[in-house]
Amino acid sequence: MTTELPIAVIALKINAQTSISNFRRNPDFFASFSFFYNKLLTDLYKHPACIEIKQQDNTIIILWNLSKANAESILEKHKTIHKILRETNKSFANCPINYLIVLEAGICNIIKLQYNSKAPAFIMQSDMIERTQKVLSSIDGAKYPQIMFTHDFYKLLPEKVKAKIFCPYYFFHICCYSFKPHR
Amino acid sequence: MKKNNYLTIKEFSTLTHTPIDTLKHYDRIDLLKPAYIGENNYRYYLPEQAFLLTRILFGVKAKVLLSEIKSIILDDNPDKSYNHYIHINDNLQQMINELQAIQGTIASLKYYYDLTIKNPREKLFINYFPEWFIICSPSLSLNTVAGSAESNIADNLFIRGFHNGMWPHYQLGCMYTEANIKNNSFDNPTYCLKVDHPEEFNPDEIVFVPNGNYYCFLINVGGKGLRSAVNIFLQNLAKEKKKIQGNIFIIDVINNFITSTPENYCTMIYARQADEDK
Repeated sequence: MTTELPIAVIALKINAQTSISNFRRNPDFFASFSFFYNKLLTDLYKHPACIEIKQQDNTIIILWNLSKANAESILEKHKTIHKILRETNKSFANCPINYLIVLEAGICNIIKLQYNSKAPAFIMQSDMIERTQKVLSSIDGAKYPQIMFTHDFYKLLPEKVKAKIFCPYYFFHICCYSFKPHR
Repeated sequence: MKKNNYLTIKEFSTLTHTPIDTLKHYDRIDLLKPAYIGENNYRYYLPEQAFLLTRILFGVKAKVLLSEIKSIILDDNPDKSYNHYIHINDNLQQMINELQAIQGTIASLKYYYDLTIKNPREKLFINYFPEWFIICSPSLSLNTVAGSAESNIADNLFIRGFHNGMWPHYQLGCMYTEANIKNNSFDNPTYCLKVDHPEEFNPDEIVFVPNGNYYCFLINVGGKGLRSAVNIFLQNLAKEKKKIQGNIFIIDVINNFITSTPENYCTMIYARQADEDK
């Protein structure tokens, strides 16, 4: 059985010094990242709109149900992430973590193969995650702002928020916006 | 008389994989002088001169001018040389960006050329286009003589597309707004330029063009004029009962980059499929 669900994706890319030389891992990184990730899971899963948090390599993908929360409240979540990170960096000063965020929204399909099964539904995110990863790879440098919204997310924001922001960017045929850079 | 450890220019050329003419040129400009010149004016080199030649060739490969290479080699100050290398690295990065952008332009040309091969002319087809940002000129009169206001604005748009003073990698086109389509007035098109660096423009100027399925139509405009070409496109849409929304865009898909013959010159007219048509 397939149903449609509006979702938002927060893609978070972590940058930290994972090795201290070509041959030695940074021992502080594991502790620092574990602290950060645990705190992130605890804080964000509390939110009723949070569907799933998954991590692969240095990217963390957080899926939100847009029928339970609006785009503005999801945008506010980057402040929560920033707060957790600041706390982590304070506790683990030897291995500071930086992050980049891309926010994307769209309609996805939820597939339930067996309706009565207790197994969780499989959520098809179309190409949303690939799009966020393309943008993440482009902003991975000092030249661009730390947070980027795709046009699909931007159009869901209320006018008063749109008026505060936005500087347009274009990466790999994806239209994005961000806060005006401070630099 | 040739000494034992000296190499003739031919031997040195073979050893270093460098043409003899290049070695002679480096001698003439005092970049790499032979270690010994025989009575017969033949040039002889020492094998260790290959190290110096390696430094010169490194500079050549890094696209540094020979005069600059000379000053780097002769400079005894390591800090100054290091700064030179940083500068060379920046130039190379700029060249890489430029070459990647040219590759992007060629990929775009190939994409549109493939469309003309796969689809017959003067027949509608659907194609998916990604989202883009454009900047627009004011609407212009088609009756204006070439070289006057119309082409000036096109030129200005084109020039504004330059990024960091480099080739713009543009897609300059023309469009009719929804109001033009509603009033059936195709005398005043607007020029538009797809921009890859919208952050360099005033956000108020930037217009978002949504992604989606577009009804496309390839036509040889030569002799017909833009007005009649758009009318043919709209007639075809009406005949097939297709509905469009948003602007109508017109771009030259086979331009004089690919062909110089007017009969191959081809224009694509396209507009987004209406939501109710899906």
